[in-house]
Amino acid sequence: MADHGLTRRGFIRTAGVVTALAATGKFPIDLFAAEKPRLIRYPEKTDLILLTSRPPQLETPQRFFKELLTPNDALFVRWHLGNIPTEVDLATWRLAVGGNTGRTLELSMDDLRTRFEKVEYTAVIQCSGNGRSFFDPRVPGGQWGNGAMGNITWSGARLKDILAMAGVKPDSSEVAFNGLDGPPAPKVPDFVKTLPMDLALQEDTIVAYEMNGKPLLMLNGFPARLVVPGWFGTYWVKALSEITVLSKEFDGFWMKPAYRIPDNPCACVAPGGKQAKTIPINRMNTRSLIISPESGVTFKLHQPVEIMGIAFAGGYGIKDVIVSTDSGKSWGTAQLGKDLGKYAWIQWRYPWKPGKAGTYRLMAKATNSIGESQPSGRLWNPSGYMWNTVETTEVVVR
Amino acid sequence: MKKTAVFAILLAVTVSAYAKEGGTVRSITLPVVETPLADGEGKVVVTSNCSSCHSLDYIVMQPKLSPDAWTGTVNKMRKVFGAEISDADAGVIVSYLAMNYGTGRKSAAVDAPGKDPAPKAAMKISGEASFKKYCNACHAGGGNIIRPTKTLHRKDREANGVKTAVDIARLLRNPGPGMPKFDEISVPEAEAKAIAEYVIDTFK
Repeated sequence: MADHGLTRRGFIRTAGVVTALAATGKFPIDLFAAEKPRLIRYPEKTDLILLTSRPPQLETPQRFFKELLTPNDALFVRWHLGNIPTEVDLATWRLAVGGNTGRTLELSMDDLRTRFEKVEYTAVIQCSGNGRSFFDPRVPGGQWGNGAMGNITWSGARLKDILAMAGVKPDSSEVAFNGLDGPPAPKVPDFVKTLPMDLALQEDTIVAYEMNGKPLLMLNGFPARLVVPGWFGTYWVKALSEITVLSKEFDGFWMKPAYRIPDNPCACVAPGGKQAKTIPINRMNTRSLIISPESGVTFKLHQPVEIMGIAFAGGYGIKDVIVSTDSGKSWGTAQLGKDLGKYAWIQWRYPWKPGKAGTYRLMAKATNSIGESQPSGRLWNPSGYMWNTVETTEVVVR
Repeated sequence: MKKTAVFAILLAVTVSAYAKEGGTVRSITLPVVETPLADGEGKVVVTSNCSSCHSLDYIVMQPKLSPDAWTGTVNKMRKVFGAEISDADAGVIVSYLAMNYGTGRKSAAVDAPGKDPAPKAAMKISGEASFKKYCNACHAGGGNIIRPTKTLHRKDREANGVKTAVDIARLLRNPGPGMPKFDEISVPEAEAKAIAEYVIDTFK
């Protein structure tokens, strides 16, 4: 994709390769074309960046983030297991609810739509590993740039209403969620996630059946998925088929040892180090991204430039975004756009008129309503989760 | 580095057609995407074992991992995900991955991407030394082995609009086709400037 050849993703990835090759003193010619995004069009989706095809992991190109709401067909795709659902018949699909409950339920899509109040809000969905390719040292896993996120209006039924219908027993401790996706081999652990009881019963945790007013797309979890606003996407189980209330701690692979972060305030360890005590990844940290201009763009001297970006936080809304055009030496406050609520991202704008030729490093830094902000130095953890470092967009004025 | 290793061209991309819209059934057909692996000893063993559960782009996507990291990954596939890979095959797979998608020999691992850049800032910067380290492979003697008309000599530089040290430093960050980018993690600003000045002073 020619107009996106200079995203930070490509920039940093290539740099990593260069560092490795510098040690050997050789730069193979092949290197230069190595990190161009590979675009692919999956069913119901637009052209997205291919990370992996089976199971699919598809990333949203940066230009879509200029829009306040991410178009359904542009939202990223991330599945864990090789057998993903490719056909769902609503005549037979049921959401089973049971476990430590007074009774079991078998809910049809009609039941979900008619027997529960429909609630709607806009919330950022973001993969735990969004930005993993920027970690230094690099870590294995899905090598996402910043495109494993989106801002979507979700509609569905409150999980607490569904659980109330089933009757949760008082000694319950957490709730497990399973989807239609299955393991590609018998011993591969099925993808099951759990939420603590208080979060499951929280007002805004929903079983969503619409995204931006339309039924979910197959690759984004048709016919229904869990939406846990403010929390990372790993909990937003797609193609939901089973909800099981538990009375003791669940220790399935995808809760332990997968998706764990260091148990400290920064969720970080010394770069390259190991994490000792861990907890399940949970609420999203605060982020801001410069969407326009993209790195590598050239401007004319005295040409007015509007720097535009987005900011979001784990369910606390954004208090302010500050912007620097001089590598972080001085900062000004950006103007915030329309507020779609505490779970959504907010657009911000910052007018700039460069008065001198040269290379400029633009930065943005957000703070949420409870004071959580972004680190300037790089934070690191072994799984490459929760990337929220203040990023740099480099542009040239001549 | 093998061509196939870095390109991972999409072959035979079949975009699906949707079926049965309107009824109660919703279905999609997933495209088949082929990712060629680098030629090397063990390629067949890797292809047959790994692709039974996941596409091979999972391999190509990874950063260059150390032999230990690849060993850890293969062990995870066997022990955690229950992949039925024999001991003999596991050994072949690890060495193929380490050679073709890794840092190769153990000794190379210490120079893998991600070494802490901090000590570099403290070192004395020499434009000549940095030029030899980063640029000399393609620009030995001020030439250009990739694009012969774009040498570093003043006449060519000026013909191509690269006149000042600032222009050169900028090119490191945003190079033209054929040249890798050097960001400020691998080449800090002061070092880029030193390289640029060395080029101006040396290739007249």
